[in-house]
Amino acid sequence: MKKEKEMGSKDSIGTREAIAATIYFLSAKLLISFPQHMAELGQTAAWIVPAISFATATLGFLIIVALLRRYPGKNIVEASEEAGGPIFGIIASLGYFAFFFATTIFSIREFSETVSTSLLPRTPLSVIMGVFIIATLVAISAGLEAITRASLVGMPLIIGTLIVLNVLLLPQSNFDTIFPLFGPGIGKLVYNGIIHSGIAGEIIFLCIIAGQLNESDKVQRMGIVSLLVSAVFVVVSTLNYSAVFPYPLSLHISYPGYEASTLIYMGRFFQRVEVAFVFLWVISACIHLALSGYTSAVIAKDMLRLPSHKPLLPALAILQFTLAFVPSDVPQTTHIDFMVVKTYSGLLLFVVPLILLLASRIREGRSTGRR
Amino acid sequence: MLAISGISGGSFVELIHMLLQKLISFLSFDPPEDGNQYRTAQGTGHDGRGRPDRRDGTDRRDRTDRRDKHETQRKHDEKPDRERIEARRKTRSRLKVRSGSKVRSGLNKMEPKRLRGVKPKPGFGFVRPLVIERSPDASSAQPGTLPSAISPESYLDILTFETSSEDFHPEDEPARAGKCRRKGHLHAEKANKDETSQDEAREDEVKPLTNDLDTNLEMLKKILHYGTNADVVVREFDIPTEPVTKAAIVFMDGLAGKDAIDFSILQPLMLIAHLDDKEGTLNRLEAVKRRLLPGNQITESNNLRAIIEAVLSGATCLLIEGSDIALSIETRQWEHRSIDRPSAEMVVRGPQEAFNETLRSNLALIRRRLQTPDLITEMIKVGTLSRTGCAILYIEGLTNPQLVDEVRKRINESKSDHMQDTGILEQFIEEKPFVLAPQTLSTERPDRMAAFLAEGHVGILLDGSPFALVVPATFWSLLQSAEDYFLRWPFGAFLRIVRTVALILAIFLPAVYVALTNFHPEMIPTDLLLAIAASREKVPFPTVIEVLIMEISIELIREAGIRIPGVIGPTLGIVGALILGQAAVAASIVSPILVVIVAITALGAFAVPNFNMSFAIRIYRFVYIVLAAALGFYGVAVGVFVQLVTYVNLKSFGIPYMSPVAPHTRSSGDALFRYPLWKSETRPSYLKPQQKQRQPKISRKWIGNSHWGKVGKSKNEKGEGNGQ
Repeated sequence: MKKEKEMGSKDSIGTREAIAATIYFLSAKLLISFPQHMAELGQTAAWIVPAISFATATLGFLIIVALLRRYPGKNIVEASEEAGGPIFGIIASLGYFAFFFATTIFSIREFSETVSTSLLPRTPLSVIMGVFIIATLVAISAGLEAITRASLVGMPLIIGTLIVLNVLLLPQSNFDTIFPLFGPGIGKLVYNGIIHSGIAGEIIFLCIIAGQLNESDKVQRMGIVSLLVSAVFVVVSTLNYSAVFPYPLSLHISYPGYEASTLIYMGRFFQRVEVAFVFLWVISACIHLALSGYTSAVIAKDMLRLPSHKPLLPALAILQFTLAFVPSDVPQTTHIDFMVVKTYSGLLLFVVPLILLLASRIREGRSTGRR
Repeated sequence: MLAISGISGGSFVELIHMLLQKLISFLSFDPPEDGNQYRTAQGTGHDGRGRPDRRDGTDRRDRTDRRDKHETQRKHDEKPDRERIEARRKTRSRLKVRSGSKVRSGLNKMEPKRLRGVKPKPGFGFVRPLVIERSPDASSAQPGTLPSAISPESYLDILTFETSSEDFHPEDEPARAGKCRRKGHLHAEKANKDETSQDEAREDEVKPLTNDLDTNLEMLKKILHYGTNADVVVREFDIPTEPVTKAAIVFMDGLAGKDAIDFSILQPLMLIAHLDDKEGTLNRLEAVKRRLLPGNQITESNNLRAIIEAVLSGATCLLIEGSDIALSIETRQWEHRSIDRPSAEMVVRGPQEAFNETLRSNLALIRRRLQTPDLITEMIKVGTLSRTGCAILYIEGLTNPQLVDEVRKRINESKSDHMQDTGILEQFIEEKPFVLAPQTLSTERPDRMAAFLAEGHVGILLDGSPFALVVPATFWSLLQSAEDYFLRWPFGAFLRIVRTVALILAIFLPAVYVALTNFHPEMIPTDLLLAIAASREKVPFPTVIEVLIMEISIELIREAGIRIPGVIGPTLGIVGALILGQAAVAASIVSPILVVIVAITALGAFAVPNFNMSFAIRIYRFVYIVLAAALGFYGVAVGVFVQLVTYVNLKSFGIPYMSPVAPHTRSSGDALFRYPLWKSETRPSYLKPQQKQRQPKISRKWIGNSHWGKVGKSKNEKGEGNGQ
């Protein structure tokens, strides 16, 4: 059902803005060490792992949508409390909060390290992270509408950047390196893909903002479109990086995207253009961080029954800034992010919504029986 | 406490102010509120303030105090009761709240102790202005008078703090306690008097007319300050009837046309008039209006306010003995600038007319282009002092009525004394004044205004301003020029692309140069890098200082060039820029490449059609230079993100600023890239117009039916309805 917008009334999120924001959320990991970890999991078939993961995440998303359909107009946090009761609902909400909070922390660290490595090697990391946090605070304070609209405006940027980058890398690509096609074996690929389906766990964002969508009944379609488009971006880019940096070389390159862009050479006047790409990547990173920071703030707001998420922002920002320094270096950061957070977030995609769905059905059955 | 102190309503700041003053007065020297303390001070062993009488060791100052107090009290007691009561009322520092008026006062305990030669400490008892608020239902209070019996002059005398032996006059007590030298109080007093006199004037203006001509004239003369104000002309004459009917006209010299007055009013009434004596007064007025006044617009008014507004706008008011209705006759005629070419929005292909300072002629220019009876002009008065005419234009049945209501509401609720230009009005009605981006679009072209009205926007014109406002404004509309539509669509689209590139260069080019040279030199081709390095070898300043020097110089040249008179202005600007740049390069203050960069940047800023937007660009440029100097491309990228978020969050009269891109709304493809006009079938949906379709899908029906053969396939051949 489409909400009628009155002039001057509080706006809601349009379909295109929601899809653009979700695509940003899912695809921005290409800018960091995601391809490196895919190479760890899939070896020469590093590009197949995200395809399986995204497909698996789609199933989990459909389960969450089925749960949301039982509670129209509510987001996943409210639906969790309705379905699971006060205790399990809070536990589920805490799980969602922990996932997005951790995503924000590690993303801040990883993006800052990327900027530090590529653009500002002599600038203290705290300065880079502080600037990131301030920029995202501005965006989160402006609200979800501003972030999603910024995503929509920036969508041509990231699409254009990825397309241009992949096209310009073709001269350096050697597609013989993707063989053997299934790498360590189909079984292992499927296993790793399913276990690490949390790499697409950001799709839960769409379920968090379900109540603010203009067309909330089309959440499923928005999610599937977002997953599909993001999957195409991720798979094609990972394939290209695998062709440029063959296994086992790709295990040692922390930022394949940046390193690949340094290889672009189109004559004397078109070389070393990675700076231009990083310029666009920083904007994408800011949007990604704003989305994850907003999501964690909103979950906390709903759990604490606050009217607004803004009072939580300074505290969350300080926490994120502090905790982002906990990992000692980049490998540790990416290891925790991908091997812990993205792995166990699969529980939030499948297990928790399944339990809530069952609990909801049991409650419904009981209430029907009483009548 | 608030009720006692007489504070009603008032802002939080004033409350804090009041509390601070109370605290200071409490901690400092508090004079007695009335004369009773003098009595208690007599022979009690205390000086009335609890301090022991030190006659056994009393100092001379204490004895002087008590003697003065006795003298004062004696004189006080000798006065008649009525005088004493009046004097006591004057000395009270607390003004009581009377019915119909509320007084915010700040005089509690501000009277100083009457000690000879005592000067208070600096900052002792700062003055709180006396402001009289008049509640809407004030009926019993006399308008324009202070609630207490304090006259302004004695009130001024009361607020005195610095006393000296020379200044202190006990015989003036309690009416005078010293002299206040606080300017704030004097201004507040003056403001209070001015506000009072304005209130008096406003209250008088709404009075109805009487049947007596002399009374009406007296009231008008008083309000218009006849005698002092040389512009006001009152011409009394007789209309030849038996007995003679007295009449008078009132007009403003310089605003009313003398020929119109002479030939359209005085001559018919004095020479040609033949009124039947048997007609009553009312019929006489009607007869005058219908038979004797050939003026094309005549309005009847029965209150002074309408008459005054008409006279002040150039009309002539006719008053007739025995009638409480006045006639306002249209005689507006004053010297004004004729319609000229636009100065800020020049085009090669397109109309060359621009608005001028006369509201009526501006409205006529628009109405000539939109000859529809649905074009509505609502007139509002803005400015409490200036009462400037403001016109709101929209198309009934097309424009969203909510938008019109919002515009009307904002203008009506913007209170200022003098609104002389739409630039001032714009600042009162915009939503976020602290965002650099302009939230209204100003134009001096009537064709642009007509085009915006036809789309569903609302136009605002102000008398005396050659710039009109169009609301709501979007970011994309600020980059559009009128010429885009008068050229064929490929050229219009090309111009838009050029303008967009110019905008990007104007904002980012200096910052990119700073970032590249300081942080990312590897991105520059080697040959160019060597050239830049060689040219900068002798420059003693860092790149960012170099850039700032040149940018500030350009800004100075631009500002100075506006104010240099005559023909030498542009010449001096160009020569100055060239010579300045060349001299700076020769002196090795800046590098040659930077001169080129700054010149391209300045040209890019000029390429932006909107004047307000170009100012915003100039400021953004400096911000990005600083970000680039601090953090290179990272800083610029973060700045772009923050600016993007700010713009998508901005609204102009409820419409998102980045519409129709974000949020995405259906439009005819006119945001950034100009599509063919025959494909612009719908109006911008973000305006929510009442009529969405502006032209049919097939707007060129001649296709396929051309006289000289078929142009494209005809409708029958194609078998479809779409021949385009």
